[in-house]
Amino acid sequence: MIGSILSELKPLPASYLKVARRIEALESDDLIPVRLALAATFTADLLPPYLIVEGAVRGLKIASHIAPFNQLEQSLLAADSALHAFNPQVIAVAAELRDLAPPLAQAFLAQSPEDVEALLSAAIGRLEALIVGARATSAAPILVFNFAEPARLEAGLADPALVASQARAVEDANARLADLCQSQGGVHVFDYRRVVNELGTQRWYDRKLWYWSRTPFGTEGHMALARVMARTIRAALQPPCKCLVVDLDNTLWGGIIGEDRMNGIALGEDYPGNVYKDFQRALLSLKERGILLAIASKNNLQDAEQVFLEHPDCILKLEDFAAHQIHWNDKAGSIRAIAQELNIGTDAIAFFDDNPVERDWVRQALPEVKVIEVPKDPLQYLSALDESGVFDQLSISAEDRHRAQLYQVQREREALQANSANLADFLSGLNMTARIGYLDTSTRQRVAQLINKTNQFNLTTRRYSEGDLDRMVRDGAIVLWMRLSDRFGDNGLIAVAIAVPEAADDWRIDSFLMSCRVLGRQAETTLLAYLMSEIARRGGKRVIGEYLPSRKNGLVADFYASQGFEKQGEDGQTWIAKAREIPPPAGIAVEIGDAA
Amino acid sequence: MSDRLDEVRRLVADVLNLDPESLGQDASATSIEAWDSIAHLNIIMSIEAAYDLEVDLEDAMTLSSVSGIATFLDENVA
Repeated sequence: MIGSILSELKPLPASYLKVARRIEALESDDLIPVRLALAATFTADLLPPYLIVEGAVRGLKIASHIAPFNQLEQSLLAADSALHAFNPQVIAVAAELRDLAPPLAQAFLAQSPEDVEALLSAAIGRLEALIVGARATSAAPILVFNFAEPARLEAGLADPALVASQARAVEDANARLADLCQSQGGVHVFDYRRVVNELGTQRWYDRKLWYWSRTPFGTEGHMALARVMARTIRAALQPPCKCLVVDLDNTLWGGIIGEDRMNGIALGEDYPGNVYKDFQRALLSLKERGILLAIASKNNLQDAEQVFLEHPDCILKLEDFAAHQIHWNDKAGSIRAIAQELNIGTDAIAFFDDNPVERDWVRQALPEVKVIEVPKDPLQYLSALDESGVFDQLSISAEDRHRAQLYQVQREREALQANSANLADFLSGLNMTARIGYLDTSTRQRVAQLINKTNQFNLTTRRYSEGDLDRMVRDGAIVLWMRLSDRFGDNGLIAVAIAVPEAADDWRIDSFLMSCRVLGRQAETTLLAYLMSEIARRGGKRVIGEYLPSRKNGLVADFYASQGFEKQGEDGQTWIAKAREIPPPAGIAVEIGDAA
Repeated sequence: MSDRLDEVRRLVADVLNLDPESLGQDASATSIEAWDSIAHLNIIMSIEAAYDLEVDLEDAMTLSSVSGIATFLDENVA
């Protein structure tokens, strides 16, 4: 339905308006509704239909509120503004440097380097006040546009030779903006500069629209901006896929290893082998940022292994893949097996295969898998992967960067487990140390990330933004995180517990969740013991545990029973225990710390 | 009505969310409430994209009727 509506789209405003109206009228659950509020220093009123269309392409139904132009303070700071009354789920702040610091755009050459510095500080300071002010009313993620190079440089060709060049001033402003966003919870840079660069300043800026209506860019600009905004909004609200499952033949190399043999496949320094080699490099960089790689290929295992072991131009090694299914059975089954082996849901998997029949089969058998539409031309593979947005995320944590290594270590642990006579031996042989601490600026991002993507070991599956967490702490909640290390290495920050004070001496465990990586190691008991003790220290008498069943968290239905809580009522959703000091389980050393 | 006039009516109707049949050739910003300043920007930008031409700002501001736009296109599109 959405596909057939979108297929009528033509690159002109009239068509976007028409298609947007049809999308708005759709009464289907296929699109996730999102409310976006945008406050800009320029006229952004033409954007909504483009956002609706580009949002629908990515599974969103974006309803936007465009604040009156150049009324940033009125819209963002006043709690009773129309913007806040709209109750946005995402807030975007789009301020152009020429509006924040007019002398930088209109009289740049009259400014001394000290003046430039002062103007930049004032501009960033104003944005900071807006962000902090908006946060006081709304916990929604905030996207702050960074700054594009101006259409015209005052010094012309001589700009790069200036002590403080105009282009450099823009770069400085962007660096400061990045620092500012980094220091605030749930505030992200929206890379407007990149959107403008991709089109080029000459095509981006539209003088007529600017002088006519204070709209800086034209139709092409609206299409490009809405496309990246829709991707960004989705990334702000939805976790990325965790794993990319790839095919081998005609995907990681050209040709078919079973037929063309080692010398016959295309992989090397010249076309077409260089295209596949670069694609492999890109996959390796995905792995570096925490995406797990896996293989689902119909091949003889020995043939495939030989390429990874012996082909001099094969960038990826078999160890780079967290799992592989190389045999002649069907690929939906392979994907299920990979999900099970990695302990992730099939909905966290993206699938990349050059064969349309395989893609179609997986799409039908496992509709929740993100099947990437792979173009025929391998030169387009990488852009198809990027454009799919399945791995879009607005920040990359230290855990992300080490994830692949964590899985490698996990396999070593499993080997130890296989060699240990019983569980107690295995656990004590791990030399585990848990570090528990309170939410702070250094852990906030990772804590929010874990809250928003953990499905299986999650008692309530409540999702919170970084802004929500800050607010809960201000309101008296205990927000704890736990890291776990053992003799094989550091597992990173793997568990979160949130308790909120209720009436009388009751505390309610609002959230309790843990990464499945550390399942079966009594880590959860360790965190709960500390939480119960902390509640008791704060004068709490009774602890209420909740279990809200979801499609995926059956694993923890008996969690509170196993921890000595008593069931209240018949539905098994409410559990009660006395708040008291509880020692951690034997075999895990506990450190209390704030440094993550 | 000419083909050109028909094309313009369809385009303006898409922007304004109206039935093309309801737009006479004298339909204009003054006679149609939905034809506000934002709609006008969208109409001119649509004309430019559909006919791959650039309308001067002077013309853009004054081209505010179906017949006016059709005449402009007759004069400027080969």
